[in-house]
Parts: sequence; structure tokens; C-alpha cells
Amino acid sequence: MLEDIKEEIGKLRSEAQKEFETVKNEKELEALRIKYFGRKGLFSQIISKIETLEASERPEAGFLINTLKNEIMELFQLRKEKLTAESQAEGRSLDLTLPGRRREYGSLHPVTLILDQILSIFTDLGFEVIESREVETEYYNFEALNTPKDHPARDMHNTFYITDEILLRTHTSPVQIRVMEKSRPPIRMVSPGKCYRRDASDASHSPVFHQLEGLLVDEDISFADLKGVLSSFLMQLFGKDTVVRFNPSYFQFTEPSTEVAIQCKMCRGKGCRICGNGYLEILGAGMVHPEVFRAVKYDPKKYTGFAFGMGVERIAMLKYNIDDIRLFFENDIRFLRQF
Amino acid sequence: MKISCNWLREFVDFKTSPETLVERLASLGFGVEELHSTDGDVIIELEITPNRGDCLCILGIAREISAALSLPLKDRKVEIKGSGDSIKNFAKVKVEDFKLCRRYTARMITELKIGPSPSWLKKRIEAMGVRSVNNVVDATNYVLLERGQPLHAFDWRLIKGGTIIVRRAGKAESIITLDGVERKLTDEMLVIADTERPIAIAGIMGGLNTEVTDKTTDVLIESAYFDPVSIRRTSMALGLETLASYRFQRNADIEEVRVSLDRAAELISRLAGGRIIKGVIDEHFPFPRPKKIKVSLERVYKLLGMKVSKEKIINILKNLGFGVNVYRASLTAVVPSFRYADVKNEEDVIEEIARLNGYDKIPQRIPVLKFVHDKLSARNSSYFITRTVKEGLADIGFNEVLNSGIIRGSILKNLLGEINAIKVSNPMDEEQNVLRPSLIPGLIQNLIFNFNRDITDLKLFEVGRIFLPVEEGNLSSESEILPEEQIMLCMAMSGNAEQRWDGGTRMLDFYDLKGVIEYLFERLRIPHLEIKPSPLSLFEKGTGTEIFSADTKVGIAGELKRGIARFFKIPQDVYLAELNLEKLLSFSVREKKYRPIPRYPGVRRDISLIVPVEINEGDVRNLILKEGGGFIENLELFDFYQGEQVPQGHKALGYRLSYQSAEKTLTSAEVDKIHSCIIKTLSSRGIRLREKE
Repeated sequence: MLEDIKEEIGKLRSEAQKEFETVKNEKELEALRIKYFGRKGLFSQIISKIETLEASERPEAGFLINTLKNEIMELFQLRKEKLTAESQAEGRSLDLTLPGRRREYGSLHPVTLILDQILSIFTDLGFEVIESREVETEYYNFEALNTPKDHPARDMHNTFYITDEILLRTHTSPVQIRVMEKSRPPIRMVSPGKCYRRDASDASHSPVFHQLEGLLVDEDISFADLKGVLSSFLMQLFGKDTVVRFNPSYFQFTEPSTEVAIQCKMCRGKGCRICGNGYLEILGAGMVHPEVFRAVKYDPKKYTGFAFGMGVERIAMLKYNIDDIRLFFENDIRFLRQF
Repeated sequence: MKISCNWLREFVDFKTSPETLVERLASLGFGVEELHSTDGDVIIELEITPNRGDCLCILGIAREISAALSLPLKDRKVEIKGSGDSIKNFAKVKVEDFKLCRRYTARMITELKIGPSPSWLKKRIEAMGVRSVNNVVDATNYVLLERGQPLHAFDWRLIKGGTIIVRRAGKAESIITLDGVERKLTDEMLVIADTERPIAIAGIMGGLNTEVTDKTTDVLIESAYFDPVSIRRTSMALGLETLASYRFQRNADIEEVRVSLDRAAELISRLAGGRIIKGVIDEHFPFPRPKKIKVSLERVYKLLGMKVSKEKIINILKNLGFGVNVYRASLTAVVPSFRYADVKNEEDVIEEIARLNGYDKIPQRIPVLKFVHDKLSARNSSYFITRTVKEGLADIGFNEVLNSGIIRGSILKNLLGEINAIKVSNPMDEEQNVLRPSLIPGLIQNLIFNFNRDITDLKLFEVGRIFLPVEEGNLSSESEILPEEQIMLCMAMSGNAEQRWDGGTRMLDFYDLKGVIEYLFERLRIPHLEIKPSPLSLFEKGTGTEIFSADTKVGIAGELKRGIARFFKIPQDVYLAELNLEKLLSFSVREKKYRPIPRYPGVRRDISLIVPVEINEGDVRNLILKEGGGFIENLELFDFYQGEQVPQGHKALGYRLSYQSAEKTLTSAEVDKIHSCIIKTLSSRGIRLREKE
């Protein structure tokens, strides 16, 4: 009877809808597929009942069964996609705590990193970066810098000599002369590089070290400019709250000369184990000495300028909390990899 | 230098605490190294810069404090009457060299009694770091510490011929100094002599032959002015630095000579009794005329960037002991004798003005920089290009090292054999004595250092200067007497290529090094790279290469000879490359130009080849590319095999060829044609296709 089959189709529909919607995993779904679409499945059973109908009723019953089959098939597909996606999301058994296949990064030397910081401040201010030689003559290292032979100021520069006239530079200041000999004002340059002193090495001395030299020469440069530029530099390097102090000092090739210190941040200037007396000397600086201008044939009446120099390792030691300068040249990988 | 606060107060009556005083001194340019209290006194250890020889004594520091705090300086004058006949009847002084001794003064005290100094005096000089000897010697040291003028006391009875001669030493002369050491003298050195022999090295140390001892009853006190340069040279030549020589080098106050002499005579007679003989010997060259320096207010402003009033300037200079003549827009500073060595020109006087006025009063300004056409690109210098190289190597796992330019001669010899390197004439360590002509020795040492600490996987690099001697024949100008400096890049790698938890560990080999070089060339945009085999003694046979770009040699690379590695106790293979960075960077293409992306699809073909071992892979590659005309867009070696599957004396190479044309879509027939041409050419060289198994 067609009515019986119609009723059966209605029952099958509601049952199938319920079952496919509540199925929990792919395994159960497969069981459902077999239950409905298998060779002896519910659809086969219901299709076989068509034969019991009158020939005139058969097309309608066939149509209804096919429609239902397609409906359920679609339901099955949807359910399958959903369950597959779910099982993929949770299913792959990776131990995610295993280390990744890392690209190894090496390291740059702390001197390079500190120079990066220093140089970017000065290049932003419009200074050029110039590199110069490490082996120099007496003339460039001393005489042109107003430090004649037999001057006691040379005591502070224990020098490695190659010959009587040729030496390893004891500071980066010879670059001042080399630059001014080659070009006319305005000059504004910084120059980093290695220097050598014949000093026994200990935690704060190394026979080789890096300095950074700076020079600014123009027609109207005064000590006020020196203070402005160097304060700005130190505040950019050490932080806005840095207290900068300018005290008189002495260098043969500047007049007036100054030693620039920052207040120790550990003790706020009271004096502690790090700083000793509350301040950390960072820079030596001063107005270019007229004798130096004369040596490079600049008119000291017309031009003024300031020069400065600083020890790069010393700054790195302060910034990175390194307590022994010798570490910079030992090249222990366990040191280098920290930067 | 150590300074006693109690002593200081005898000259300037400051009320401030030592802590405040120390801050004020620092602001005047005297760095404070230490401050400590002892026995009712405070000792300040000051750093005195070499220009301030006048401050190597209590009086000098007192002058500074008096000027800074506007307090009166209490410097009392000593008046000596003396007794008996004039000294000139006993003693003769002959200065033979007025160039080296511009003033020589002396007094005599007789019938004194040598003994220990009173405890107050002992305490003072010992607090300032001077050992007590006896009352006479201590008195001369006391005056030195107080006034900065070195003095010497001779036992008068031991001076032969009653004559002091100030002369240069004879060539073969020598003297035993007070420290008991025999000193050989040269005719460059100034001595104090009697009629027979030297009795002191002028300004440095007295002789044992005229030492003041317990038996001494009559002394001759010397106070003189010696040439600073001569003192310095003699002191350095003899390796002998004393309180006296240190001051004579730095302090030259010709007027103080006589004042200190009288002060010493008075003190000695007070401590040791005796009689000061009437009169004084004072041999001198005409005194230099007081130096007058013109200071314009405009120059003060120009240099300091601030206006200082004329009244203020006058006040500062007068407080410092300068005389001042005032004009409308300028003034003249008359330099006191104790500042002759230091204050020589207008800038020096301006520094004094700034110093006393306070550096903290100078305003801060950021200069407005003029536009300069050729200095626009501050970041375009070679420094920043070098910086790219460093970044590039750190990015692929290299650690940057930095080494000294001075290296051990022996390591150089063991690595590179007898090569001409520049020697340091006064090395600190006889071993560490040459300037590096290569960065390789430094990196080898770094490897050894880390191997010894059980770190065996290493990739290091350094960028630095090397020093090469200039050929003798080329010494024409000043710059050429200097060695040639070149900026080099050196890389060293050794150990595991990578370590993975899922296996796949392998050791680094030559192709890792070559890959790094190729990477660098690409990163630096250097289009041409050629690596040519070259038998260098540093490298293991068959691995040495020279690196070229555009036919210029830019470096070397290879595996460190295993014999050398063994010699240095390096337990594994080491790969090294050294490149001349300046040369290399000159080939870098700065201006990048875009090349259109091919519009037509390409065709890929793989070929597997059996190649006789004597044909290099590079040659095979070149044959393919040459035959392929412009149609091979990319050629990639994907397989290399040598072993059982391949006939003896052959190797298998697998290539992937990407055919592409910029003008059209290549048809299969066109590609087949080119492809078979390539195979034909290869087979003419004995290279054949590998049969499919």
C-alpha cells in the first residue's frame, strides 16, 4: 500500500535526521552509513518494498524514496565534513614541546653594538662617520696635536713604537688632523677605531681598546654648543633622566678642556661601589686649540670648534654591566653569544 | 697628590666641610681620587693634570681655593738676618750651563745638630706619602710639599774645593745616588759637581758622597730652577723619577726659588739649631719679563658662547694672582710667575675665566648646521657598508670577534711561514711583537681558546685592519713611510653544521664555507664570483682556493692544513676564508635595476648524467648553459652521487633545467630541440645520460 510506504518514509526521515545530527564521531557515522546505505541497509529494504505496490503507484513511491535518499545523503556528507574537520583539529599527535628547527642567529660584538647606538645618535645630528689608520706618525699622534716631544702630557700615553717616527696611535685624535688637512670647514665627523697603549692589562686596562673621536668646526661654534651636543648625546645614550656634569680638565689639543661625567644612577651621585665618587667619566672634550688649527692651516681667528673623545669599552661596560675589560678581547663564545 | 686639610688651612681659612671642598675642587678641574680622615686630619687625594705643576703643593691648592671662595691667601714672607761672614766668603757657585739651569740659589747653615724630626712634622710629611729621614732632609721635603719647590741639602764639609759647579756630566762619569745605585751619566745630563766629581744629578737626586748624615754639622741648601725638558730626559734615561724631578718637569716658577730657600733655611735652623750664615748665593740668567696676554671680551663670548662681564673677569683674574690692565673692549692679563708654564695665550686665560666662573654657568645650545652638499649622506660611508657585512654574517649564525692588531710572532710563523711582518720595537711581551698581516692568526687563537673550553661548534668572523710593510724603494713621501692598512674580513668555521633531534647531524665542510661566500656576494650585490683552486701552504692539499670578482683577487678560502691544526692541538677540521673588504665592496652594485618577470610559461626538464670524474661540475654546468643559449632561465643541480651505482671513474649529476623565453611561449618541439643539442654536446665530452634502472 502506498500509504504504508509513505508513512514508512516519513518515519525514516525523522529517524535519520535525528541520528545523523547526533552522531559523535567518524566511526559511528560510518556505522550509520552502512545502516542506511549498505547493501542490506534501510534504503535497500524500503526500495525492495516498491515491488509490492501496484504498477501505477510505483513511480510516485520511487520518487519519494529517491528524494529522501538524496536528502539523507546530503546530511551524511555535511556531517562527515564536520566530523573530519573536528578530528583533524584535535587529532594529530604532535609533541608540541619538542624544540623547533631553529635558524641559528650568531651575534655582533658588544663594541659593534654600542658603536651602533653612538653612531646613530651622531649621524642623526648630521655628523659623518670616517675611519682612519691605526698606525700613525709621531706628527699626527702628538706633534700636530700640540704635544711636542718631552712634554709631560706624553706620560699619559704609553706608546708602542714601530720606529722612532712610527707608532700605534694612542688615541683616535690623529683623525682630527687628517680630516682637517683634507677638507675645509664646516667639519662635523665622528671616527671610531682601535687604539693601543703600552699599559699592563687588568680589569680596567687593556693594551688595545676602542675610542670614538668627534669634531665639529665652523665659524661660530662655542663651548655652549659643546655642552648642548654632548648633553644631548649622553641623554639619548643613557636616558632622559641622565644628569650630565662638565668639569675642567686638560688636554694638549683643546682649550678650554672639559671632562664630561654622568651622575651614577645606582647611588644618585652619593658615591658607591660602581662609581666611587658619584659620577662616571664618559668623555673628554674641549674647544680646538688654536695651535691645532695652525697646524692644519685654519685661521684660528675665524674658525672655532670642539672635539671630543670617549672610550667605547667603558660605555659598553656601563651599559651591559661588564666588570672586566679583558672580556672584550678574549672572544669567549659564552660571552659573545650574550649580545 | 695627597693634600692635608689641616696644612691647607694654614694658607687659606676655609670653613666648608671637606666634602663640599672636594666638590668645589672637582669643579675647578681637580679630580678627587680619595678622601679619608686620619688622626684629626682629612687627607684628600687629588688628580693633578700635567699642566698644573703649580698645584703639586699645599700652596698651589690653597691659591685655587682662595680664588674660588674669595678668601685671602695667608702666605707669610720669611725674613732671614743671618750671622757671621757672608756665604760668599766660604762658598763659590759657578753655573756653566745657564740654558739648563736658569737660577741657582744657596744658603749655608753651620753647627747644626742632626736628629729625628718632631712628631708634628713627621706626621705631616708621612700623611702626604713621604718617608721621614732626619730633621734636615725632612725640612727640605716639607718645603717641597708646602711650596712645590724641590730643595737639596749637601753636607758642606764633604764638598771638595768649597765650590759648586753646575755643568753637564762628562761622558764617562758616574755617580752613586742616595738610593745606593750607581748611575752612568752622559753629556746630555746636568749635574751638580764640586771641583772633583758630581755630587748630585741636578733636579733628580743627590749623591751619596755628600749625603747629610748623623755626623753632618754644616749644610749647604740648594734651591734652583732647572730646564724642564732636560730634567725629563735625564729622568727617563735613568729610569729615575723623584718628587723633585716630577715637579721640575711640570712646575717652573723661577721666582719661588729664593722664597723656598729662605723658608727651608728658617725651618732647618728651627729644627736642628745651628747658625744661618749671612747672605745668599743667587746666580741667575736675566728673569723672563712678565707675560702679558690681551683678552678681548668678544673672544670670550665667541669661545664660551656666553657673556661674562668685565668686572667679573677682572675679579677672577685678580683672585688667581694675575695682574690686570683694563681697556675699553679688552684687558691685559699679566701672568704670575707660577703660571708661566701653563698660561701662554688668550684661550688659556679664557679657560681660567670659564673655570672660575663655573662650567655649569655656560648655557647649552645645539648648533644649527650649515647645509653642506657633499656631506649630506652621513650614513653612506664605508663604515655602514661594512656594518651590513657584519649583520649578514650574524644573521646566518656567525659570532663576531675582535682581536688586537698586535699578535704573537710565533703563531704567525707557524701558520703562514716566514712572512714579512712589521715588528713592534718595544713590545710589552717579547712574544706579542708583530702587527698582524692577516686576521687568520687571531681567529685561530679564538678557536683554540673556545675548544679548550669544550665549545667545538664554532662560526666566527672578524672585520679589522691588517698591516703590510711598504717596499723600501717606495719611500718617497711621508704617507708612504707608514705601513699599508687594509680592512679585511675573516671567517673561521668548524664542528657540526647543525644538530637536530631527529637525526641529520653532519660536520661542516668546504661547501658550507663556499656557501657562506656565495651568500655574502649575493647579500652585498656583487655579481661576479669565481673560486679558483690554488695550492696555498696554509690549506689542506686540494682545498686551497683564491676568490675573484671581475678578475680581481679579493681573498682566499680553504680547509686549514691538518698538520697545522694538529700542531695547534685543534682536534677537527677548520675552514677559513679571508677577504679584502675594500676591494670586495668596490664591486658591490649600489644601483639595483628591475628585470621584468618572464611573461611566458617555462618548461622544466630533468636530466641525469654520468660524468667522468675528471670533468668538474662547473664545466658541465657551463657546457649546458652555453649550449642552451639564452633559453635556460634557471639551472639547478639537484643530485650528486659517486659510488657503487655508478661505473668506476664516474659520478652522477642530476640537473633541473628551466627553459623559458622572454618573447614567446616555447613549444614542446622547440624545447626538445635545444635539449637534444645539449645532450649531444655533453656526449661529445664523454658525458652520457644515466639509464633508468
